[in-house]
Amino acid sequence: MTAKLNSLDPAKVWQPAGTENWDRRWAAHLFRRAGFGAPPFGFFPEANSWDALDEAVRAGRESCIDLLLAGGPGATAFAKISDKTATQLDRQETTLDDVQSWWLSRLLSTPHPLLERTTLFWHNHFATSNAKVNSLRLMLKQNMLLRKNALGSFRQMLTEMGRDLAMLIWLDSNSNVKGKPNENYAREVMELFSLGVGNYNEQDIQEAARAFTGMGTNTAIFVFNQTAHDDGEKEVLGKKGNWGGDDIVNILLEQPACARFLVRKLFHEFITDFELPPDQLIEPLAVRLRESDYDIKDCLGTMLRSQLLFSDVSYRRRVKSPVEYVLGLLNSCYAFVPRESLASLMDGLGQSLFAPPNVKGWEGGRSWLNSSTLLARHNLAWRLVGGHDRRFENAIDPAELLVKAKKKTSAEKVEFLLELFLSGDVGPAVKDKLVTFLEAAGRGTNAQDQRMREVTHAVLMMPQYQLA
Amino acid sequence: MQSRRNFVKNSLKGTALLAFGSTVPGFLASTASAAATGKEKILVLVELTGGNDGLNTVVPFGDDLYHKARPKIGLKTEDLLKIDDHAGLHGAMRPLEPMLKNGHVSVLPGIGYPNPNRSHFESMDVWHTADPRRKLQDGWLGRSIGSLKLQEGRVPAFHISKEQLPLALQGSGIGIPTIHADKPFDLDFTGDPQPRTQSTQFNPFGTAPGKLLSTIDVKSETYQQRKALISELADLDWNPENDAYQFVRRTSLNTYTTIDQLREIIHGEFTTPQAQYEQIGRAYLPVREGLGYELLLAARMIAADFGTRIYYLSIAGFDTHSAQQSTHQQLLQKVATAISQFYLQLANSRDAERVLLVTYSEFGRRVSENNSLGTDHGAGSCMLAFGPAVKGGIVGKHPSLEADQLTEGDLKYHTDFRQVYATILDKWLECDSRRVLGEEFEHVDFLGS
Repeated sequence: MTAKLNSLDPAKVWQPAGTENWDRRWAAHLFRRAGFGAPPFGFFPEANSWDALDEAVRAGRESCIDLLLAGGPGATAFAKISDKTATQLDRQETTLDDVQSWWLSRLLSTPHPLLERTTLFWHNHFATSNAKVNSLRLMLKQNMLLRKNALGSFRQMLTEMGRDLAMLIWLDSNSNVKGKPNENYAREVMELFSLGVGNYNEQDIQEAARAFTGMGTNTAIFVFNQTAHDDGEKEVLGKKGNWGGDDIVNILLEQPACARFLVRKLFHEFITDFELPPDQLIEPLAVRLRESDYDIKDCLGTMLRSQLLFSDVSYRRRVKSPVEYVLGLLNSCYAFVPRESLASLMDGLGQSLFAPPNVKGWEGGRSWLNSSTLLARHNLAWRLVGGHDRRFENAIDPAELLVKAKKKTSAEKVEFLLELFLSGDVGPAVKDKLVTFLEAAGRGTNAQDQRMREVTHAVLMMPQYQLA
Repeated sequence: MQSRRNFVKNSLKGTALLAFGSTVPGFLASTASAAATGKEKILVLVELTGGNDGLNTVVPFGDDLYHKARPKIGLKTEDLLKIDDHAGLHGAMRPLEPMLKNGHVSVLPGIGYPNPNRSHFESMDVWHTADPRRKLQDGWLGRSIGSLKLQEGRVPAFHISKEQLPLALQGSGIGIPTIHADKPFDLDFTGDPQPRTQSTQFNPFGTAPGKLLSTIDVKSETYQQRKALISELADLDWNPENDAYQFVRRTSLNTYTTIDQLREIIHGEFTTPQAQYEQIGRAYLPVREGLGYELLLAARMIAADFGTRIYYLSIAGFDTHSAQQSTHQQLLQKVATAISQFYLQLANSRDAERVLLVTYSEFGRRVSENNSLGTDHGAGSCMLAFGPAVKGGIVGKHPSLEADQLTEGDLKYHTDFRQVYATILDKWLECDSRRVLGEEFEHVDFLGS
């Protein structure tokens, strides 16, 4: 699929998808992109994980997307409880593991998966690591800021981020003082948070750094130190004035480059990370984003409803992030794992929440997968499916699943698993091979159950399963 | 008694790649061209991530301007490891002293590129793509892989790291494996809840070679059957049009193919005679983690005639905006210890002559220190090259520190980094630099006698 995007009509592909491309397979695609694998438990009350997609198909694409944008049943109550749990984490003995498990649990169980998904997206956009901030309380606080604005106004989020304590520490704002500016925040706010490289020059950074001088923290609250602030005239991106930090945000958001940069990042996250979109494809959405004064929900809604999302250009053309991989696996059979074990599921996969590798965040795409992370995924799948690891004992029990789903013959069983985990996206010889392997097991329930686990594991190791 | 090298060779025979039969990925066959066994030259690249302060790494102590620009964080002349009458290495690099004396350390000052970019990521991309205009999307090493001479069925390059595959290695069209001892490199079918807990322990002074610490029995019937099944499933094509799918498929097949051989190397014990360590001072040793450990993995793979031509490693933390002295001291000591340890190991297996190690960083730092006892992002800096193959000492001039010779407070480079790349490609890796870099660059004279 090389350079598919160049031949597309930008006026057309952002239009809502028609009635075609809507069945179990495409519903699963939607929930992989706008959620974490299957519809979350309770999204369609009473449904099994494997029936939930039928419910989604019946409800129709539009109402599924509406529900994803607004949140499913119980979203408000859930948010309240989860927020409260977070405040209970504000203790001396809390570890990074605890905080990661808290968020993973929220990502997994939320009735509003798109909100969490976008919160994670913004965590990667404003990538801040506890490795330097060294305060889980401040990391949680930033997480709340991201969630509050995740589907709201980017203007609001960028403004608040300039006062976020974790961010102020992360990018050395305290040492940004009049006469001796530290350019760290000014540089990243342009390069990584709003405009992208090539849309500003070194002088813009130096001048913006002067405007941000005096904005700092005593680690408890935001502090504006008037005497450290340079109140002289600055020229940033061609605008002269006696600018302060908030003025810079306004100047940045006026740049057409800003909306383009954000739409490109959303495209990478929600459509495909295997091909860079040409400018003309980005432009209609960038214009829309600017005209809505940076309404994220409006932009994302358009993307999710688009013909582009429901096309081959997008279908299974993204590598699942480790979070998507782990949560998708659990969600696809509504598996239960104790909350305190959740963080350990992520070991070795290359995505440690609250600890991105640097301010550019996780690169995503191809870089998620190499020999070690692939093997880590395979081994994790076996720990969840194998039934032997005490922490996750019987998290996923294929034999039990197949009884519940009333699958009896080997062919039915294999077909069911291929449908459940892969939407049947396999070559013609796969089913026969798996049936042969299954039937080669010895008689007796134990041998059969064990072989069922092995077959399930083999399905989860297929290359297709790594793709969203 | 058989030599260590022979032992490793023999122990790997049963798990040779080609034993894998029909699922050997196509790239292994296609990139294979004749190369004499065990004679290939090897490049090891070590990236110092974050912008290493070149001026406090190779110090022009004979220049008063250096001491003026660095009143607080400047290094004292008497603490340096002198290279000649003008320049010396940071004192933390003392473990390199024997190599320096033998002429096995080459210093290349004043390396850079036009219109330097002071963003970490942008400048890294420039170095990785070898394209300051930023038109190319893939890595210079990735592009060179197609024309490398390799033994049949060998993996051309390895990335030894906990991190993601660097851009420099991308674009080869094959999945370059990333490996690390702290990460599982086993297909675990056993169900042992904590497999290989001992895998990262090793005894540097041990004498028993190659004992496996992994608990996984690769010869068992279950392992063989299940591994065969997953390999065959990955081999059954689903959608030839989908580039993402083909990428995962290649990465999977590549992984399954090399896994058995690699696991022996990763999980086996390290053995180096104690006497060798005495040479660089026991105070620094042994290094059990980080770059030192990763280089030892590379040394083992080289000793085992793994056939790989390029190893890529990195060490982070060089972004020293504040309180630079202790951080920089520790980092340079780690680098120096790791490299000297690496060459001791290579000397032990008689491989040192065919291994060239080069360090670089995305940029140097500002000449003048800032007021947080640190330095901000700069431009031109130095590269270091190691091994018996280099010409020792300083190659070329150290750039001037005169105010009117600086560019926006940064050192002016006199040698394009692509000249160094071209030298490595043509003279060491023996593949045409013009094909990789798109144009011809004058060589830098740091290799060979």
